[in-house]
Amino acid sequence: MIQVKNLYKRYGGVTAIDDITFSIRKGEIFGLLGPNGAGKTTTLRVLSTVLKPDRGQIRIGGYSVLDESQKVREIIGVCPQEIALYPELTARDNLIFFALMGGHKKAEAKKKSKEILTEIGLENKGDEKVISLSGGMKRRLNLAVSIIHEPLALFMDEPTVGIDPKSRAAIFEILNRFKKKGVTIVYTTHYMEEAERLCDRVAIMNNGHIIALESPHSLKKKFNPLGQISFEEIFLELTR
Amino acid sequence: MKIIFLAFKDLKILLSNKRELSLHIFFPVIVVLLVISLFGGKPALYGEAFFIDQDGGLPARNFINRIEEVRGLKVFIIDEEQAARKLERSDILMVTEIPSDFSEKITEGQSPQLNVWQRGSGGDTGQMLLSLNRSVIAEMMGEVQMTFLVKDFAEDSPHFQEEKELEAFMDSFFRASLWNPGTIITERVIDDQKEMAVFFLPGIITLFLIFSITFSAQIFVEEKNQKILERLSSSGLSKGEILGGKVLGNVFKGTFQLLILLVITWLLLNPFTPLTFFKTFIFSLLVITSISLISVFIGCISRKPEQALWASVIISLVNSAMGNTFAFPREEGTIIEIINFFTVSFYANRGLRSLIIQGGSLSGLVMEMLALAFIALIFLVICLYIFSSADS
Repeated sequence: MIQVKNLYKRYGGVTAIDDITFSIRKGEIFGLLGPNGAGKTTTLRVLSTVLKPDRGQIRIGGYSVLDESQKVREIIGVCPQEIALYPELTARDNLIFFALMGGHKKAEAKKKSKEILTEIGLENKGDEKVISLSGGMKRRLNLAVSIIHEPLALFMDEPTVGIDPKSRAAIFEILNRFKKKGVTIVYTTHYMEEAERLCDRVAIMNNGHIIALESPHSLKKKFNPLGQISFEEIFLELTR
Repeated sequence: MKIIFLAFKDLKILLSNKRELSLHIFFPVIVVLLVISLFGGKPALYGEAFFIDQDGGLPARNFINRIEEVRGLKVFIIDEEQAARKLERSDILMVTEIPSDFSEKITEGQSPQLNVWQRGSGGDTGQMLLSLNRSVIAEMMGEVQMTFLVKDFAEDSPHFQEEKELEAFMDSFFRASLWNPGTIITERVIDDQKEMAVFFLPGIITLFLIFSITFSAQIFVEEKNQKILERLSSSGLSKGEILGGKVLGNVFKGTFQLLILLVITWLLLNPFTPLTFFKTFIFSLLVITSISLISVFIGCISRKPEQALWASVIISLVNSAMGNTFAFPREEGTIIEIINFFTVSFYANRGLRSLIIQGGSLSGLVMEMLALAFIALIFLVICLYIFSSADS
């Protein structure tokens, strides 16, 4: 579904991504892990056509990100770390607006917004302004906006940062449902237990390089055959 | 279509925010009411005349009444002590004292004396008042002389057997001369200026549009920093569509503000006919478009909302101080006059003054409209070049 080859990006005088290559299968949940400044968010933004790479090739769903960015945008969804919603509009209006921006017709957008509000457990909060929702509800809505147009690939930048366990569990449930539908998910996080629980494979990044790319299970087996240390400790050891 | 949805969303946010909405409505009402209370219905300039009436007789009262009849002049009677104090503190620049023998002298046909105390030259009003005093005294003296002449002539006449009959005749005679003056003065005001409040109206419209639209730049930067514009970009909107939507959103908000302003001023000042209202509306749309592009430009170059706010404040202040918004440069060819040409308010004010005050036509504003369109085009090109939804 996603092929990345020799990707390179300099950003503000610093090499943010330094010649990375990987591919992601359809329906896979792929974790991008690493300390702050490792290059995870930049990689995600290049994949989601927001930033242009200096070198390298990326293909998503058969389309080149560099040459067919418009086609790529039609099949991807992006969930930024920030709550990228209009606080003065209601949850429903935000969903309808972004569905319209994604190319849906108005009636269809209304129908989709109703369905997705139920799916994220906010069916009773649809007519409330975003500004009045709790942090966890905003996160769920932030995710809902990125999936309302039913993308084939979903890019998520730390979607569970600073939220309550209930909302986190709701987000995991949504992601697993999407995985079952065959949606490919690329996910950055700082929470190791989250990556271990959710991701099929993880790429651990440091200083713009990929230093490990395997399933959490394989990584644990490789670096800790006796099972004495946690996945988080393996991560700390690798990124030291 | 996406551009229109994006623009309507901005208008919807404005309408759903009660606090911001109330500012858009009440601020213009307050400013227009303030201008009306300061200038509405009164002459452009008025002066104050101070008198010390030591005489207190009927002719002295008559003299003061005639001065008071001059349009725009307000007369105050004060005592000697007050006059000395006010002059000392420069509260006033001139006082006219009517001496105690004023009535006696004027009744006898002798030239009365007036004492004038002044600081320096007595100011512009003082100079005018001196000349006014002289002409009123001359007028009153002329009437007394005329009465004496008629009295001498009528001594042997059977028509005026009693003093009262002669007084009544002379009174009606002087009244008749007031109704049929020897010199007829026709006042023709340059620029057909109606009232000072209406004179300020173009500047008020221009300023409110500049303030309300450029302040939207803050929201633009907030949306950029909150990654909303990035989300729009990854939703499939091109750079041109995002910018177009933001500009159109500003145009919608500006038009909303304009309609509020025009309706308020129509209700309070009644400066429009349906035709001038329509012409003003059309011309203002061009002004709004230019300012909208400047606002988006501020949003493109600012990294933080506070930077956008400051840029908006500075642009608004420059446009209110310059551009002939409320004052014109004293001399031609000065640097100030040259800077004026680089402000939006200059073309906006010229156009609006022509339409509202002079009843001009849109075809007479080709230069102003071209200038505004040029400003809009320049900023559109710059925005398209520098805008990025991501901070790369």
